[in-house]
Amino acid sequence: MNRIGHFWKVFLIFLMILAGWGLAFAKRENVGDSQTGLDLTFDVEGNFARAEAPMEFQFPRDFGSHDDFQTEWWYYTGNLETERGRRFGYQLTIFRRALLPPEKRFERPSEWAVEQVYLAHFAITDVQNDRFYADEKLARGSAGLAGAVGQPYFQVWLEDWRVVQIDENRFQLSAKSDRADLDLFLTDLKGVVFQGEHGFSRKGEETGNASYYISQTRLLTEGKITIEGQSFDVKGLSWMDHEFSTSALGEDQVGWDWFSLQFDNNHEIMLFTLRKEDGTIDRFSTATLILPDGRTHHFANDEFTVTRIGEWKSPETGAVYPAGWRINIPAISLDLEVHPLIPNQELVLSYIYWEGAVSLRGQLGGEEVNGYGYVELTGYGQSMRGRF
Amino acid sequence: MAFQTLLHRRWQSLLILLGVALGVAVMVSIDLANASAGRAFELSTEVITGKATHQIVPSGSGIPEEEYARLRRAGVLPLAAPIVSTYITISGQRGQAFELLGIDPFVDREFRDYWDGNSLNGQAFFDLITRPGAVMISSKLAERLSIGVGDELKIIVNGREQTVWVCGLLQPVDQLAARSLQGILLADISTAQEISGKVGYLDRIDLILPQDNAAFIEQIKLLLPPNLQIETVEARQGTIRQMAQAFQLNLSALSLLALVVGLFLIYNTMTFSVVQRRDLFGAMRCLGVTRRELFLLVSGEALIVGMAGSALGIGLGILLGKNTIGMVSQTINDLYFTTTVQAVELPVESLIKGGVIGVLATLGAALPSAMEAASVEPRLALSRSGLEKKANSALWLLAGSGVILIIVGYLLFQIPGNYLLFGFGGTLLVVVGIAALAPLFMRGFLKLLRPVTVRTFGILGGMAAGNLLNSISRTAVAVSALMVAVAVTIGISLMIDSFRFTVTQWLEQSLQSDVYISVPGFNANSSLLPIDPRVIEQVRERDDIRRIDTLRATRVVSQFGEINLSASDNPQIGEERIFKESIGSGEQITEAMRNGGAIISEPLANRLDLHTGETIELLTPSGAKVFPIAGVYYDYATSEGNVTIWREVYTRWWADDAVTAIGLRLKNGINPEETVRDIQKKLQTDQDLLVRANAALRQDVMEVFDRTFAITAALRILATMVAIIGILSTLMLLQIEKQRETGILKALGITGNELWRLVMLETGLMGLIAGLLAAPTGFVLAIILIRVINLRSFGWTILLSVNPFAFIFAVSIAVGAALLAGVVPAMRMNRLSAAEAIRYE
Repeated sequence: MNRIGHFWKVFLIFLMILAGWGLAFAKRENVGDSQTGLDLTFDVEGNFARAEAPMEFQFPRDFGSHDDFQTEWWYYTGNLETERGRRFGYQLTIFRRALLPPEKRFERPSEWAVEQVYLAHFAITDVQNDRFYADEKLARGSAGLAGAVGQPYFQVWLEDWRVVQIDENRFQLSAKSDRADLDLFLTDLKGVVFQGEHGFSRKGEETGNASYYISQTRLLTEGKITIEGQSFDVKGLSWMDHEFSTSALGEDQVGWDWFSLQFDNNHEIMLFTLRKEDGTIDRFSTATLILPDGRTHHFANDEFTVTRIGEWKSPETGAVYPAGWRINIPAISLDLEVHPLIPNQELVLSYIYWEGAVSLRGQLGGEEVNGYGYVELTGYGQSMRGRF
Repeated sequence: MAFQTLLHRRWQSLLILLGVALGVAVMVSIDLANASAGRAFELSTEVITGKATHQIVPSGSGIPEEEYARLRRAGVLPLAAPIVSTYITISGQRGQAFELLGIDPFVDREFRDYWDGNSLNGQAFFDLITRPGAVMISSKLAERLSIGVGDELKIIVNGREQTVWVCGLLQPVDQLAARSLQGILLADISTAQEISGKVGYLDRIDLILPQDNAAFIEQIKLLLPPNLQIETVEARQGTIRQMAQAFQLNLSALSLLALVVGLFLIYNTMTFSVVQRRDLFGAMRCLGVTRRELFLLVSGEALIVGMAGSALGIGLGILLGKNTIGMVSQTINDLYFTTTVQAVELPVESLIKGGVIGVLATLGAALPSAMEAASVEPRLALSRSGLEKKANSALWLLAGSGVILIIVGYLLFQIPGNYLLFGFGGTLLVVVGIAALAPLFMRGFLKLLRPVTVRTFGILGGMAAGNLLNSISRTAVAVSALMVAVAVTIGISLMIDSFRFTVTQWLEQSLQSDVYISVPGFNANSSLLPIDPRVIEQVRERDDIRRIDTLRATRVVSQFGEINLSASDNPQIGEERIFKESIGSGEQITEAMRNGGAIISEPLANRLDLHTGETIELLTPSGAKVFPIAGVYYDYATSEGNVTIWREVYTRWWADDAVTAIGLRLKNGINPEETVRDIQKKLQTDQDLLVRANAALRQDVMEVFDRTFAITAALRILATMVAIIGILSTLMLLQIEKQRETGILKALGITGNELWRLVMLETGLMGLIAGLLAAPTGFVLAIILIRVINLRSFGWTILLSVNPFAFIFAVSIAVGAALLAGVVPAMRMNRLSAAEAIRYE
C-alpha cells in the first residue's frame, strides 16, 4: 500500500517552495502579480532509480536516504496528552528531493555543492486553546545542514529539526520554531510495517510507477511540548512513514484525503482517497489494516467508502475543507466516525494544505473502538495546476 | 537698487563673484568627492551586508564551514546567512574591483532583496545552485560587458584567471539597487568557495538579531570556538570608515581654507565699495534714508553677489568634481577600503551645502561693511585721511585680537584627546590671527622700507610705499589674503615634503630584501592573499639567494576589534624597524618576538593608546592569547595600524602556514633586476604574482604616496588662485579709486613707463610683504599640520624636513601674483588721458 498522493504532493511542494523562494527574493509587493507568470520548469530530467520490483530492505541502512531516487520523505505525526488530559497533535515532516540525477553528479571540491534539497514542515495543534502553529524550513542536503543516514544509527535532520535513533527501537524527535518547541522520545512497539508487497507499493499500471514504502504505525511517545514559553509533559502515540520513489502521477488528480488512524485496541488503519478532476475517486485509492502483530490487510478502493459529514471554511484562505468523515470497510465490519480535534489545522506555508489531529469512534469487528489519528487534505486550498 | 549698484560697479562685482565662486567651487568639489566616496562605500557594502545586524567573524583565516552547520544544528542561529566573498577583477575591466559574493540562496532571502524575484526563473536558480562556476550578474553589468545568459566570463581571482558563466541576470528592484549590484557577481556558496580557493571555509556569518539581543548573543557565544567573534555590523565597518573619514575631513578642512581666502577678498571688496560711497551714503542719509535701509542695501548687494557667486561656484564645483571624485576614490581605495561601486549619483546635499555656505559666508564677510554704511552720519562723509587715521588706530586693535586668536588657537591644541575638530579649529584661529597681525606688520615694514625704495627707485619708490601706507585699510586685507594663501601653499608643501622624506627613510629602513613576491590585491599597500605554496618551494631551490623571509598578513580580532596582523620570520626585524619606544636593542626585540611578543605600529599605538610593556590580546583558535608589546615602530603603510608577531608563533596559534609576501636577499654581486626577470620566467604557478625588485617596490609605494597627495597639491593651487584674484581685485579697485590722482600725475607729465613702474612697485611691494609674512606663517602651519593634524588624523609621526626652496618658491609666487595683478590696472591707467581721468568724478 502506498500514499500515492504524496508523490504529487512532494513534487508540487518543491516547485512551490522554489517558487516561493524566488518570490521572496522580490519585494513583498511583487508577490501578488508574480505568482502566475513564474516559469519554474527545471531541467531535472534524467535517469533516476525507479521502484520496479520488491527490494531487500536492510536496517538501519534503509532508514537513511536513497539519493538515487528523486523523492523521499520521513513523516512523523502524533497525538499526545498531558497527565491531566490536555491534548496536543504534532507533525514533523522532512522531505528530500534530488536536483541532479545520478549520472549528472560528480565529485566537487566544495562540501556545499547541491545535489539534494531538503524541506521540512513542523506543526503543533493545541486543542484546548484551539491554536495551531505551523512553520517550515528549507536547506541544501549538503555541508551538514540537512540529510538522512541509516548508519551507524538512523538520523534525519534539517538543521535543528531532527529525528535521531538513540537505541534499538528508540528515537528522539526535536523541532523548534518561534512559538513552539517539541522534544519527544519515541519507542517503536510494532517494528517496521512494510506497505504494499514487502515495501514495494505499486501506484499504476506502468512498470516503475511505484514506490518503496515502510511505516512505524505505533510509536509510544513521551516528552515535552513547549508553546509560547509554557512547557507540558506529554505522552501518546506517533506514526512514521518513510517512502521513496521516482514517479510522476497522472494529470487528472486534483488532491487527496489521507488518514492514519490508531485504535485503542492496538490496530491501525492507513487509508487514502485520490480525488479526480471530475469529482470521482481514483481506482488506486486504498486502505490498509495493521494488526497488533504487524501483519497487514489491504483493501482496494471498491472495498471501502469514505463519506463527508462536515465542512470547514478557512477564514485565512477561504478554502473549504471536509471536516468529518464516516468510514466503512464492510469486510472487517469497520464503521467509524472521524472528527478533527479542532477545525483550523491548515498549514499556510509556501504550500497550502490541511493536516491535523483527529479523533475517531465506532466499530471494528463488532467491537467498540476509540482512538486518534491524523488526516491530510490537499487540493482544497488552491488549484495547483492553475498556479503553474 | 542693490542690483543697480552692482551693475554700475561691474568690475568690482565680477571680482567678488569670482572670489565667491572659486571658494565655493573648491569646497563643493571636495565635498562632492567625499560624499561620493562615502556613498560608494555605503552602496558597496549595502548589498553585501544587506539587512544583517551582526556578523560572526573569524580571527585569522576563515570560519571552518562545519562550525556553521554545528551552530545551525544546535538551533542557536535565529536568522543567519553564511557568506564567502572575494574581490576579483574581470578580464578587460582591470582597475575595477568586483565582489564575488557567495550566498546560500535557501536562507539569504531575509538578508538581501535587491533583485527582483522574476529575474530568478526556475532554470537560472536551478543552475545557480547546482552547476559549478555559475554566477548571476545584474542586467546593467551584463549590458556593460555585452554578455548574456549562458556566456562565459573570464575573471581574475587571487592572481589566477578563472572562467565562470552567467546563468541568469538579476533585475535590480530600483535605481539604488542597480548601482549597488553593478559591482557584484552573485554565486552559490559552493561555487564561491571553489573559485576563490576557500573550500572548507566561510568568510563570515551574517545574522539578523532582534533589538533585544543580549540573550541571543550569549547563547551563540557559548557555542562559538574562541577564534570566532560576534560583532555588530556598524562596529565592523566603523573602524575602517573612521580612518577614511579622517582623511576626508582633512580634505574638507583644506577646501575650507580656500573659502577663507575667498572671504578675505569679499570683505575687502565690500569694505572698499562702502568706503568709496561714503559721500553718497551721507547724502542719502540727508535725504531721509534710514540706517536700516543703508544696511539692507549693502547686505542686499552682498546677497545678490553671494547667490550668483555660489551658483557659479556650484557649477564650477561640479566640473572640478569630475577630477576630484576620481582622485579621492582612488586614494580611499588605495588606503582604506575596496569599493565595487564606481558611478554614484551626484550628491545634491553637497551642492546645497556649498551654496548655503557660500551665501552665508558672503553675507558674513559683508556684515562689517554693511554696519559701516549704516553708521554714516547724515552729512557729507569723512575725508579719506580721517578714515585712514581711524584705520591706523584700528591696526593695533586688530593686531591685539590677532594675538589673542593665536593664543586661543594654541590652547585648543592643548586640549587632551584626539579631537580633530579642535585641531582644525585651532589651525584656523592661528592662521586668521597671523593674518590680523599682517596690517601692523605691513605698516612697520613699509615705514622701514620707504627710505630704501626712495634710494633705489627714486621719487616713484617713495610714492609707491607712501600710497600703500595711506590706503592701508584696504591694501592690508589684500595682503593678508595673499599671505594666507601663500602660507597655506608653504605649509602644505613643507608637510608633503616632510612626509615624503619620512616615508622614503622608512622604506629604506624597512625594505631590506632585494626582491619581493606578493599577490596583486586591491589595496595598494598590503595584500592578504596567500601565495601558491609551490612558489616558496621553487624559490628555495634557487642558488642565488642568501636568505628568504616570509610574511603572513591577515586580519585578526583583538580586544579592540578587528586589526591587521603581520607574522614575519625576518631574523633582523628588530634592527630593520625604527622604534619610537621599545624594550631594548633590536636583537632583544627580535628575541622577545620569538618568545611570543608583539611589536605594534605607531598609528595603532596612538589609536588604541598602547605602549611598550603593555599587552594586546588576540583571539586564536585555541582561545584568547596575550602578546606583550616589545616595541612601537614607525610605520606609514596604514593609518589603521598593524601588529607584527613572529611567524612561528602565529603558525603555532593559528595553525595557518599561508604566506602573503616573500622577501629574498640575494648573494653578493647578484643583480636584483636579473633575478626578478629570471624568477618571472621560471616560476611554475598559475598564479599571477607581483615579483618586484626593491627599487621597483619603493617606486610603487611612492607612486601611491604621490597619488594620495595629488588632490592636496591641487587644492593648494586653487587656494593660491583665489588669492591672486583677491590681489587683482584689490589693486584694480585701488587704481580705479586713484584715477583722479593718476590723472593729475599724468597732467604733471608722468610718462607711461613711469606709471607702469609706479603700479608695479606698489603691487610688487604688496606681494613681497605678503610673501615675507607667509614664510614664517607657512612654517608654523606646516608644524601644526605635522604635529597636530596628521598625528590626530592618522596617528603617525612625520619628521620635519625643511626645504628652503618652498619658501623661495612661495615668495616668488606672491610677488609674481602681485605683479601679474598689477598689469590690468596699469594698462587701464595708461589708456586714460589726463583729462578723462580727472573728469572721472
